[in-house]
Amino acid sequence: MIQRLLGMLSADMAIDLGTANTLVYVKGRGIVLNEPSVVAIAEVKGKKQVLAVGDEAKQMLGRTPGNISAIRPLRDGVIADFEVAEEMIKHFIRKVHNRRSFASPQVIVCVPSGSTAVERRAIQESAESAGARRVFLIEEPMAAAIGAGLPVTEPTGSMIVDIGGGTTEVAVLSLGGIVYSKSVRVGGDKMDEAVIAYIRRAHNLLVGESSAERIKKEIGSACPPEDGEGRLMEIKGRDLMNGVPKELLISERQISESLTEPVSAIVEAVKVALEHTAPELSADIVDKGIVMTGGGALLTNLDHVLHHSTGLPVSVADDPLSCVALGTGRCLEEMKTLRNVLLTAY
Amino acid sequence: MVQRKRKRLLIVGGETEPPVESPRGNDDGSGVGSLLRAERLRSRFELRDVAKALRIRLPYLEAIEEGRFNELPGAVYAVGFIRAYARYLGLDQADILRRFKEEAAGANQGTELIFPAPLPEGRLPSGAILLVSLIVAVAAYGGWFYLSSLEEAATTRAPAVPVRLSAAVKDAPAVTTILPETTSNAATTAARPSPPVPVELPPPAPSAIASPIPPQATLPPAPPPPPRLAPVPAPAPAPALTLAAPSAPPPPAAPSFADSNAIPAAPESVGGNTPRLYGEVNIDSRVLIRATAESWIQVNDAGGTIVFMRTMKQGDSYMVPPRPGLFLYTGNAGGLDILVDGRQAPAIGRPGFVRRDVALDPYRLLSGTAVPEANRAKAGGDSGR
Repeated sequence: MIQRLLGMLSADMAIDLGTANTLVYVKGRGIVLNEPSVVAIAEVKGKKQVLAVGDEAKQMLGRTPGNISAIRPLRDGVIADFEVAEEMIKHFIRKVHNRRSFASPQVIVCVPSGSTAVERRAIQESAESAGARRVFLIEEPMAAAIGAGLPVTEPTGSMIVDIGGGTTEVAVLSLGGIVYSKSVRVGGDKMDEAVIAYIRRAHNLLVGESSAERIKKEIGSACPPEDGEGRLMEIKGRDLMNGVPKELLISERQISESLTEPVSAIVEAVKVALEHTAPELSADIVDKGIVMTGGGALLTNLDHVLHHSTGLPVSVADDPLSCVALGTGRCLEEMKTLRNVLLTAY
Repeated sequence: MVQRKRKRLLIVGGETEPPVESPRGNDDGSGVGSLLRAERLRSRFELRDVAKALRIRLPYLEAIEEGRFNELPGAVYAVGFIRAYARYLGLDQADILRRFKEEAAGANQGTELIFPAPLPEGRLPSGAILLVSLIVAVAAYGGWFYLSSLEEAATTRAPAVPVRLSAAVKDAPAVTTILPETTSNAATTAARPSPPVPVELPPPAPSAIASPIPPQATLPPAPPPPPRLAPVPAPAPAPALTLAAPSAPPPPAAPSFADSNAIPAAPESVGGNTPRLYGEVNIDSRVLIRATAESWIQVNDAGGTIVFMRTMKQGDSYMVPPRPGLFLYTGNAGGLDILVDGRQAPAIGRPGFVRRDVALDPYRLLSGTAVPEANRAKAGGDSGR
């Protein structure tokens, strides 16, 4: 009774605490916040203070003076820097939550399916100390599947591949539960790192993380173009040979080459998941295919590669970036019926 | 109810793979399906080859071409299939998808998510339990209220005789009847061994005449704690035993249990609302207190010993022993009529007033000075009429 009353007063929220982006879904309002998971911390007189969070902090990434550090508190889908993550969640909750209402919100947070109990506990405690009344956790593949609109509760197998910033989650779902899930710590970040490494190796040019991400988004591709070099892009960085800033032209073919390793890791994870799937569910998956969500699904031709390597039809969900947040939000809206998918320590 | 709803939804979900429907179909030739088919025919592809290349089942591709989107496994898959097909044919994927979404608009995009729940055990829904218990509670309260209002009316008329007391009535009829008929009656009562007759010990009051049955005086040897009804003094047994002992004070030694039965039995045994006369033994009494309303009175002698104490019902009267130095203490001064030699004395107070130490002296009562001055002042200075 009291819970319901508090629920009416507070704006309950679902948080997709991703490695790259944090999305906040507020009950009844939809996704209200989508910002990079970056916090800029300034050290003033030996005391650390939050300078900026989100978009603003992301612009500082890699461009900070000595007393400021732009930190990404999440690595590989889980909290790496506990305090900073807490500050970030607090900031986002405060930004979204109506401060006039005195009831603190109920919060659902996504966790990778492969996360350990300690990591889950860390995320839950961060959210609690950030001002949440109650914290529920949901496994990312389930949230993504609900958000993508898969019939997860029906007695038919569905396969979802959620390629996030830090992790790739491959899961087979049926009857409202996860039958098999595999989480590999390969995602957008690993692709960026691969791009950086490739450019350094092939062109002796060092580019920053942000630049690498931009390159991946613009001309990244999972497989080389059929003919020619594909799209071209000018990239800027520091020449490793003589240390001066340098600009050069890079092609889609080169980037696709650099992305071979993370892409094959993802494909491998999908194959392993398929291998471990029960035959009845395999039959369902053969019929319907695989659904991809997450930012990684936007990588050009990734569905094509997956389709060829698995021989299954591959569909990319609508608005793959917000699938997880939408699915988590749906759990929030339909708390009563979808309660079973939530993990809680209470 | 919830269960029924869920079942219905499950059936719906099971029979028709829900999400995508085509409100318009492709009969007009402008649908996504016909567009794709036209493009395929133009490129001279066989649908079977397309299915093989895309690894999409032939029935699904046929359904897409014929606009039967509800035969596809789900909205998200439909989008994926159409996109793949469009790409295979070299069409603009975004445009085809936009058209498809327009066509399938109105059809619900969301998937019904109904989790398989364990069958509920045969229990009443909590709502029904609450409702029923509420109704029962209200009915019980209403019944109680109604009965208690009836009961209240009854009690005002006649107080029920407690079982214990009525038993005592049966056991000791002679004692229980207040009527102090004769000494012989009392003597027979006293002679009875089974219900030990209450006998006062040698009364301390000087005016009291010794009991005519001295051997019985030692009868209550056991000194149990005063019985519950002990506050009621023993005026009743006193007249029953001693004809001229009007003011038998309560025995200093507590009466035995038998006494406790007998004492209250005397005043309370006579039920009904017939007016009763107390202190009838005081034949030469000059002062008569008659209750016009229920009022509690207590008559003390000068030494503070209680001579008479009870709640008088309307119409009850008490003949005050003809002794000097008696004082009246009442809780309802206005509910008493005091008659001195048959003449109405001035009222001692208004209804509801407590009066203490009203001197039961005939002259003072008649002159209206019976109520002490201090008492009168405290009670609001109201005594006369």
